[in-house]
This record gives sequence, structure tokens and C-alpha cells, in this order.
Amino acid sequence: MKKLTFFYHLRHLAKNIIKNRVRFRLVILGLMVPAIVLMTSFFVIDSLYYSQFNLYYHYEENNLIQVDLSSSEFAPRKYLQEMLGEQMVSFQNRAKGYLFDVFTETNTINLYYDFIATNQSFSGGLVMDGDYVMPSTLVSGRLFELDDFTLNRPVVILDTLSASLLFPSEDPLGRSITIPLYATRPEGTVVVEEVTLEIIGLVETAMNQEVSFVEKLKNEESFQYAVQLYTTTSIEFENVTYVDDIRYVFYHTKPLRRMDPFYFNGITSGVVVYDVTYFQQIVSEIQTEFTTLKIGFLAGSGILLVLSSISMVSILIFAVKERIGEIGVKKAFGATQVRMMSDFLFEGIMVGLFAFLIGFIVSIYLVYSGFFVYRLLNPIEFFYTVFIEFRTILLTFFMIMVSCLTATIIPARYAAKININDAIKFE
Amino acid sequence: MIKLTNVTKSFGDLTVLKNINLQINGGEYITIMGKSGAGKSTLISILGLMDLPTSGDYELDGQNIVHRLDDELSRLRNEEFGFVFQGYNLISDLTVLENILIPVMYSRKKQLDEAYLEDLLRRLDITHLKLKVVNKLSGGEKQRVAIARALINRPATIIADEPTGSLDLGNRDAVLQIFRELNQEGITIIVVTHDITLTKDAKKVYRLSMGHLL
Repeated sequence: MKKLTFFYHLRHLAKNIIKNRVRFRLVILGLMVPAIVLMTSFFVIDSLYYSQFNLYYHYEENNLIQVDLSSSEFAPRKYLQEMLGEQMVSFQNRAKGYLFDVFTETNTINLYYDFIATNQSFSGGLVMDGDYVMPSTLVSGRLFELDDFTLNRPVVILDTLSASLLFPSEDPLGRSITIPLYATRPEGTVVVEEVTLEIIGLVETAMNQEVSFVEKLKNEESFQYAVQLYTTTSIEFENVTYVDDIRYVFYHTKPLRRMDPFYFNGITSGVVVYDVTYFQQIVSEIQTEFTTLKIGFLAGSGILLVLSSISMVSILIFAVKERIGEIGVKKAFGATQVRMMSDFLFEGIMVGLFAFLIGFIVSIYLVYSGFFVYRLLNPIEFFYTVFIEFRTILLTFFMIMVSCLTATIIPARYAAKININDAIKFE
Repeated sequence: MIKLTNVTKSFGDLTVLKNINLQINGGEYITIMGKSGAGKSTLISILGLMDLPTSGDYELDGQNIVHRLDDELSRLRNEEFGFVFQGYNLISDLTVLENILIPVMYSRKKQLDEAYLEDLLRRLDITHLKLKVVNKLSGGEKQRVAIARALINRPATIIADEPTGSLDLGNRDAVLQIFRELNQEGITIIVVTHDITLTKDAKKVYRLSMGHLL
């Protein structure tokens, strides 16, 4: 019988909604809009937050520290090399492909570099802005020394594979290679003439596998890439389709103890001040940023809900007035004041639930489609995944229910207090 | 048994019922007649516990109910009385069955005797209508639905306010026949009307005039 009562009221409510379609549509819309604003904004913010959090968490897990080079004119390579010795420092940057030729008097090789560090992977190797990486062991010759940079010596270190291709039957040490000038260059690199570089060292080939950068990135796969050439000089690249934000390089300190950030400041004193940011600081910053955003949207949704509740009260009082005859009959046949109130509160809750469900579906649709479109437009740099926080759903549900109950109490009390005789006559 | 003692009902300065004394024994069939404005509806409201007297006593089965709480009066209305109104007072967008079940929905026991329901529908010849929305029914059918609703909780008393006022002769006779049968089964019938033809089955006929019961 309880089930019968529930469905009885539910059917009655459905009939009332159909009968008073416009009025109920207004009420549902009034509740739905703040629900959508709240859930959509929170879902987006949570997704951005957790995606960034995961990214930085990856750095933290891999002992990466972030060094901001945006205001620096010099890369910290020499200091890092001093510090790390043969341990080799690698850094990552987010970029697309680089294709360039390296040739000698007799041979030419075409080097294609894929560089990327996704939030799933980290691997070293990129020549950029005079900086260098050497994630492999020295085989012969020497590594770069400080004077190579300060005197801007045209020197290069090759991997053994490139060296064997360029100099199949000769010792490459002391020989020269030429990298021609290309018409296009990636933003952020130093413009140079065609350069001829003397080979000062050979390192082990760091080519792990042949990868298709774009495909890998699309599939969000982690991968490593080859580093075949290291130079102190910037190189003009051909077919560079994209160079991402080069403000940040990530120095991989995993084999070492965690560096004091002021260590870099100390060794670069008078030259460059590097801003080193740690994981906790980054997380704390994005937390503050996103919490502020959330509070803003929460307040906005709250205001919308209050306005909706106010209009809901007047709409429901009007609905009660229209149903005075029905109320009279129910009271005549034994409905107590409490039951009358609970009937109307039930209706309010069901309307709220309905608005919440529609709002939830619309929000999910908006967030997923928004992220999908953004991903289509930005396939390379997009690493966000949609994160639906249960707390957000619960919070929205709670807010909607509280608004509905508050807005329904006045009409429900009004219905409960209606005089039976007046109501019966009304019919 | 219903017993009113010196019942007076006033609305502001207007006294509608004046020192009404009335005793209705269980199983009686009584008719209360009176012109419009004589206070019939007010009396029926008080008899049906939909309103309380300004002064005087109301005893229901020996219990004075004048000072009972509103919820208690609701329970008594639900369990002891069934109402039939001139304008049917059915909820127009509900089906016949949903209208009939209203008293069950608001009863404390919330127990539906399905066999009794089926019997009631058959007896009032509305079985075939039970899933129809009431606003599609004729006047006679509506009044039979209203009677079924009044009877669903097996009340001791049926209070009918001008029950045939909106019906044609054929339907009027059918309704009166139902009341007659119900009374023969021991249900107290109280009919308020200004139609003298409704008094023929009544064991007692009262006349209400200027607030006095004669």
C-alpha cells in the first residue's frame, strides 16, 4: 500500500505537471539553470584542477623541478653540467617535430626529432636556444666545457649512430658537420647563419625507438625519442609546425638528491635568477585559483537559486489556489494538515529532483562536448580529462532540495490551513 | 450515534445555527430540509466534523469531540464518515479508481480490501469506468463514483448534501435506491436537501429554518 501511495502521488504529480505545463516548466527551468551553472562550472574546474594536479604530480613523482626561463637570457646548461658532471642533464619541452639536415663534404643525413613530454612520460633530449641535453654516456672525446658556451665555440657532440652514418670509415672526432640555414624557424630559437660545427665528442645513441610523435600524442601514449646531436648553437629547423611554451624546462634530478632551489640562484648569481617552483607550491597555487573560481560560481548559483525559489513560491501559491477544490476534498476525506503539507512538499521535492536530473544530464553533456570540441581544436596540447566529482553532484542536489523545500513550505502551509468548507464550495 | 446538544454556530455577528439539538442513532435514515441560506450546509459541516460549533456539544458514539485536535477530527472523518456532495467534488484529472481511493490514501491503516473495492464497483456499476478520467463521465456516473469514494473506508455514516441536485430523474432514483440499500445494511444516512421527494425513504425528516431545527 505504501508503494501504491507513492505511485498514486507520483501519478497525480505527473498529471498536475501535464495540466499546468507552463507553470511547472517555469519552476523546473528556474531550478535547472542554477544547477547547470553550478555543476558545469564545478565539473570544468575540477577537470582542469585534477589534470594539472596529475601533471605536476608526475613531476613530483619523478623528482622534476620546474625552472622558469621566461626572463632568462641564458640557459643554465653550463652550471648544470658543472653540477652534474657526466651524469648528464636532460630537460623536456613540449614541441612537435624537427627535421633538418646534417651533412659533411661527403655525406648527408636527415634528422627528424620528435620532442614531447606528456604527463605520462618524461625523456630527455632537445636542442633549443643554445641549450642541450645529453641523456647518454660519453664514448669518446669530451663533453662541453664552460668556454664552449662563453666563447660561443662552434662545437657539436654526436651520437654514435649519426657519426657512423656521416663518417662511415673515419674517426669523426675533430671533423666538421654543417647544418644549413632554413627559411623558417621556430619562434624562440636563435637565428643563425648556416653553421659548421666541429665534432668534439661522441655519445651513445639515445634512440630508443622510432616514434610517430603526433600519433603517439593523439593516443596519449608515452614514448621516448632519439637524441642524436648536441650542440651549443641554436639550429634552424625545417617543418617545425609547433613549438609550445618554452618558458619552462624541467631538469631531471632523479639520480641526484633534491636540489635546494637557491642553489641555482647561487651559481647563477649576477647573471640570471631562476624561479624554481616546487610541486606543493604549484598545487597550492592552482588550488587557490580554482577554489576562488568555485566560490564565485557557487555564489552565482546560490543567487540564481534564491531568485528561483522566490518565484517558485509565488508560482506554487497560485497552483495551490487553483487546486483549492481538490484540497477540500482530500481534507474532507481525512487528510490532516501534516499530510496536506507533506503532499505538497513531496511535489516540490519531485519537481526539484526532476530539475536536478535534467540539470545533471545537461551539465555532463556540456562538459564532455566542450572538452571534446576543445580537444579537436587543440589536439597537441590538450591533456585534460573530464573529472566528475561526486561531491559536486551531492552539493547541487542538496542546494536544489533545500531551495525546493524552502520554496514549497509556504504554499504547503497555505494548502494545509485552507478551510474545508470554503474549499468544498470552491469546487 | 451522533448527538448535538445546544449547538450554535456563528460567523461574526451572524448566527447561522441556534441551539440545535439533534440525535441520530446508528442505522437511521434522516433528511434535513430547508431553504437556501437556512444553514443546511453549516449543519452538515458540523455533523461531518468539517467545522466545529461555536458553542454546544457534539457527541460521537458517546465521546464529546468538540475539543478534539484537528488531526483527530481528520481521522474521525476518514474512518466514520463518507461524504456525497451535490457537485460530486471529484478531482477531475484523476481516474475513477484514483478518486475512489482518496480516503484510503489518507487513512491510518492504508489497507485496501480489494475484494470490497471490486464489489463496490460492481454494485455501483462503474467497474468498466475505473480507469477512465472522471471529467469524461456523465453526471450520474460521477455521483456513483462519489458514492463509491464515500463508502470505500466502510464508514458508519454517509452524509449527502443535495446528492441528487445535479441529476436527472433516472439517476436520482438510482442514487436513492443505493442509499436505501446502504441504510438497510445498517449505514446511517443523513441527507440534506430542499427536494421533498428525497424524504420518502427517511425515517425522520427535520426542517431547518432561520437557524432552528424543527
